[in-house]
Amino acid sequence: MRQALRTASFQLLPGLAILAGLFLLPLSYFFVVSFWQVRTFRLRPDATLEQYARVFTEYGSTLAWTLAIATLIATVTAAIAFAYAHYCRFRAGRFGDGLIFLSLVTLFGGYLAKIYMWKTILGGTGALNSALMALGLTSGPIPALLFSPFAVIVTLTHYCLPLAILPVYGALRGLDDTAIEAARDLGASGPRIFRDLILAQARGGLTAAFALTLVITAADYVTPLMVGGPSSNMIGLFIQSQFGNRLNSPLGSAMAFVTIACCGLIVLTLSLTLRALTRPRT
Amino acid sequence: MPTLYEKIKRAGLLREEGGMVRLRTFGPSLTRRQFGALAAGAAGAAALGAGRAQGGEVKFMGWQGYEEAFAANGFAASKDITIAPTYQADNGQAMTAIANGGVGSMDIVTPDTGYTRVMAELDMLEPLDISRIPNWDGLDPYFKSIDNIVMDGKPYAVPYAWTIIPLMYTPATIPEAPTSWMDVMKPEYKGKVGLTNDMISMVANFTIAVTGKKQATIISKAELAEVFAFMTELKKTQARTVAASYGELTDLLASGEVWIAQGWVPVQLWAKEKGADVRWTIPKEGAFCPIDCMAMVKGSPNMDDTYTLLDAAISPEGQAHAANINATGVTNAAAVAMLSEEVLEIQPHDDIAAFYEKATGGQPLPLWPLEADGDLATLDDVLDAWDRFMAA
Amino acid sequence: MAPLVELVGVGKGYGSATAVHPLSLRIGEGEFVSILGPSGCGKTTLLRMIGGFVTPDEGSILIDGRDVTRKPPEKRATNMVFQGYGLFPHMTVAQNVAYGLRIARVARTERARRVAEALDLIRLADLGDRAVSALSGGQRQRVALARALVMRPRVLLLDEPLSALDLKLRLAMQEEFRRIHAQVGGTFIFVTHDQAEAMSLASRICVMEAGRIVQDGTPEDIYRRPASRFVAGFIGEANLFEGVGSDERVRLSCGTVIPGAGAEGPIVCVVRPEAVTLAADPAALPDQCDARLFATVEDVVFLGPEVRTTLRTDSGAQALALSRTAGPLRPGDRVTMGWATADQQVIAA
Repeated sequence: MRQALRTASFQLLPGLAILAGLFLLPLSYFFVVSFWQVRTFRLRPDATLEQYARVFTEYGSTLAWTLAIATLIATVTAAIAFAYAHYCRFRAGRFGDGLIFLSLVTLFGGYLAKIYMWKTILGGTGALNSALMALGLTSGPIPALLFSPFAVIVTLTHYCLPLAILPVYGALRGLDDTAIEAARDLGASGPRIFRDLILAQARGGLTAAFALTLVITAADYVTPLMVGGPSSNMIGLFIQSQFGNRLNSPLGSAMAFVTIACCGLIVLTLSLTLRALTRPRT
Repeated sequence: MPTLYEKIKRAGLLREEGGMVRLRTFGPSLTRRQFGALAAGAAGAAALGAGRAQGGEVKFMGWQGYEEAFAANGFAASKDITIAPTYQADNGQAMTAIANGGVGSMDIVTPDTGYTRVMAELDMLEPLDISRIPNWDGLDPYFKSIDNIVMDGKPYAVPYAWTIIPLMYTPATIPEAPTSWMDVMKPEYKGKVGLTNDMISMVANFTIAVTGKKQATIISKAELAEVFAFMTELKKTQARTVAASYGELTDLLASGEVWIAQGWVPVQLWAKEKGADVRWTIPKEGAFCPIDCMAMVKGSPNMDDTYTLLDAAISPEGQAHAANINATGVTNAAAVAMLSEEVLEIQPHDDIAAFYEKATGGQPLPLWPLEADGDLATLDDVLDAWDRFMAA
Repeated sequence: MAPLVELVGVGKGYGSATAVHPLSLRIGEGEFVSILGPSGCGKTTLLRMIGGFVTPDEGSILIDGRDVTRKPPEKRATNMVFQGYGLFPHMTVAQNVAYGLRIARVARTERARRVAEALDLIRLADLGDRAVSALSGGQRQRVALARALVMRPRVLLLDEPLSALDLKLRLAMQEEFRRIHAQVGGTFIFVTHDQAEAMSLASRICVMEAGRIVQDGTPEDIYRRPASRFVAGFIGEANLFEGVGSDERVRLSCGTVIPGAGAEGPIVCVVRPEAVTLAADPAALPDQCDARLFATVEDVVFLGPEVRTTLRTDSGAQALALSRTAGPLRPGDRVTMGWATADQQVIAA
C-alpha cells in the first residue's frame, strides 16, 4: 500500500513540478510582492496594504468598468458559444464536429490579425459602414462603430468565441440522447428539457466558457487601446503600465490580484446561480 | 530570449528596405514608440536578464535600432567587439536594471537628456573622458552645450539622436497648417483629433500649449492639473481615439479617421508610402523635441570597447547609417550630408540651434523631478495623472 | 370492446428504405404483447411510432380511441423504457423516478408516496438517494422501469430493455417483469429480438420480418403453428423438411412419403425436435409416430434434462432430435426418425 502510494506520488511528481514551476511560483512571488513597496527604482520588502488601498482609491472606477464590460463580453460570448455548440450537437448531425473544427481554425489568424480585421470592417470607410450606406440605411458613416466600447465588445467576443465554444461543446457532446428522449416521454417540454437536462449537465462547460472569456477579457489591454477609442481603457493597460513603464510591480501585482479575485467572485456567482437554477429535485 | 521584434522579423513579417524598417502586415513601420505600447512585456522580461555579465561582450540596453550605429560599415565587427543588445520599452527600465545589479555588468544605455541627468545624479553613469571620444569635436555646436549632458563641466553621455514631436494634419481636410496646438479644440475638428499613448510627448506638448512654458516639465502641481483637465476635455469632446502607436496614427491619418494629431515626424514618411499626404508643423507655442543619448553605465566592465562604441555612435558614418534607418536627426554636423532626402524632409538640419530656440526655447526638456521639490509636479504626479487621463 | 391501442395502415420509410410496411394492429387493455423479430425488422420503429418519437408516413395511431398520430411523446399516455435506459446521470434514483411527476405537477406528498411505491415495486426502496452512476446494470434497468411505471401509463412501451444484461440477470428480470405486470396490470408492449424472452413474458407475440408482421398469436400458437418458414426457424428450433404436398400426403425431397395435410405444391414440413423419436429398429417406434424418415446420427450431446442428437437425413438435410434419454446411439448409427403427423406443420414454401 505504502509502496503503491510512493509509486503514485512519483508519477505525479512531473505534473506537480510543472504546475508549481509555471503557475504557483510566479503567482506566489507576485502575491508576496504586492505587499512590498518601490523606492528609488528598488523593490523594498514590506508588509503594507497600501498598494491594495491604491487599487481601490485610484483605479476603482477603471476596475469597475473593466469588470462590467468583461462580464458583458463573457455573457454574450458564452451565450453565443452555447447556441453554436448546441446547434452543432443537436441540429447539425454529422457536420457538428466539422463546424466545431471550423470555429477553431479561426484561432489561427491570431489576436492582432483579428483586431486589425475588425478595424477594417468597422472603420469609417470599412465594409460595414459602406454596406449600410449602399443600402441607404445611413447617409454617412457611423463613427461609433469603431473606437468605441461597442468595437471592444465585438472584437473580444469574436476572439474568445472559439475558446468558449470548446468547453461547452465538450459538455454537450457527453449528453445522452436517450435521456433527452426519456424526458420528453415523461412529459417535459423543450424549455424544461433545456433547463433540467441540457443546462444542468452543461453547466460546468458553460461556466468554463464564461470564466475563460472573463479572464482573457479582463486582462486584455491591447484591444481597448486599438479599437476602443478614447474612453474604453481597461485595468490591464494600467497593470501593464505599472510593470512595463512605471516599474512598480507591487502596485501592478496588487491590481492584478484584485482583478483576479473579482473575476473569481463573478464566476462563483454565476456558478452558484446556475446550480440553483438547475438543481435536481425529488 | 528573443525579443518580440526578433520574433516578428524571423516570422517574415518584417523587411528592412530603403533604410526604413517596415512591418509588412500591419502598420508601416516599427519603431521604439510603437513598441513602447505593445512590447513592454517582452522587454520587461529582457530587463530581468540584463544583469548577467559575460566577458568581452558589450551589454547594450536601449531603444531598438540605436545599436545600428555600431554596425555602419561593419564597424563593431572590424574592432572585434560583440554587442549583446537588450531593448527597452521605457527609460525607467534601464534605470531599474542598473539599480538591480547593472552596475559593474552593463555597459551602454540610451537615456534621453532628461534621464541622463537623473541617472548621473543617482550615480548610475560614468562621467566621460572626451579625449577618448575624438568624434565629440565633430558634433554640431548646439549638442556640445546641453545642460543635462554636461554637468559640472563633465559630460555624462554623447548626444546621439534627436527628433520632433510636432502637430500633424492632413492638408486634404485642413489646407492651411494649423498655427496653434489649441486648434485641436476647434469645433470643426470634433471627432477628428488624434492623440497618442506616448505619455511624455503628449504631456510635454500640451503643457507647452496650455501653460505657455517651453520648459514644460518644470511646472507646479496646479499647472499640471490644468494641463490634464485640458487633455481630458480634449479626449472626451474632440478625440477620435488615443492611438496605440505611431504606426496606428499613420493609418488613422491616411484613412481620414483623423485630421489633426499630436504626431511624430516619421509619420509623414509612412503616410507618403501609403499614398497619403500628412504634414507636420511646429505651432507657435513650440514642440517637444527629445534628444536621446548614449551613456556608459557606472563600473562598465568593458570600458575600452564602450569608449570605442560611444565614439562610433557619433561618428559621421555611424550617425548617418543609424539615422537613415531610424528616421531621426543626427548630432554630428558631418553626417548631415549623408542623410537621405526623406530624413532631411522631416528633420531640418540647417540651423539646429535656431530650431531648438523656436521649439523648446533653447534647451531640451529636463525630466520632471523625481522627488517632490516644493510645489513642482513630480514624475509620479505625471504618471498618476496620465493613468487617470487614460481611464477617463 | 374497443382496443386500447389501434394502428391503422401505419407505415414508415427512411429515404428509399421502408422500415415498416403499412400495417394494422389492435392491442387490448391489459395485454402483454411482444413484438419479436431480428434486428432491422422494423420493430423498434413500430414501437417508437406508438411512443410518438417517430411520425408515420401514412396511417393513423389511436390510443384509447383518440387519434394521436401527430402528437409528440410528451402528450401521449404512453411511457417508454429505453434500450439504453436514458437515466438522468446528474440526478439521484429518487429524482429520476420523480421527474415525470414533477413535470405533471403532482403534489409533493403524493409525489413522494408514488416514488416510494415505485421504488418499492422494483425493490430498490433503500437506494432512493443514490447517484444513478453508482448503480449496477440491473439496478439501472429497474430505475428506468420505475421511472416509467410511476407515471401509471395506459401503455408501457419497452424497447429491448434487457438486451444489455447478462443471461442470469436477464432471466431474473424477466421474472420481475412478469411479477410487475401481474401486480400493476396495464398494457405492456415489449420489443425484443430474443424469442425465448418473448415466449416467457408475453401473452401475445407479433413476429416481424422485413417491416411486416408475419404472425400474430399466442406463444403456443406461434410455436406450434408457425405461419412461415421464417417464423418456424426464428421461434425455437425446428426441423424443416422440404417437399411437395398433394392429396393429404407429403413427398419429402428424400423420396419418403408421409401423411400431411395443409398445402399443395412445394411445402416445408416443420417438425419440432422434441416431437421426434429415434429408434435403430423402426419396429421399436411407438404407433403414433406415423411419419418416418431414415437418417444417420452425427452427434449426441448429453445436456442433463435432455439429450440432443444431430442427424443427417438421406437427402442430406440436417435434423435434430431432443429426447429424455440417450439410448445406445453412437455417431454413425443408422436410425429411423419418427413423429406424429399431428405434431407437424406443413407450410407452403
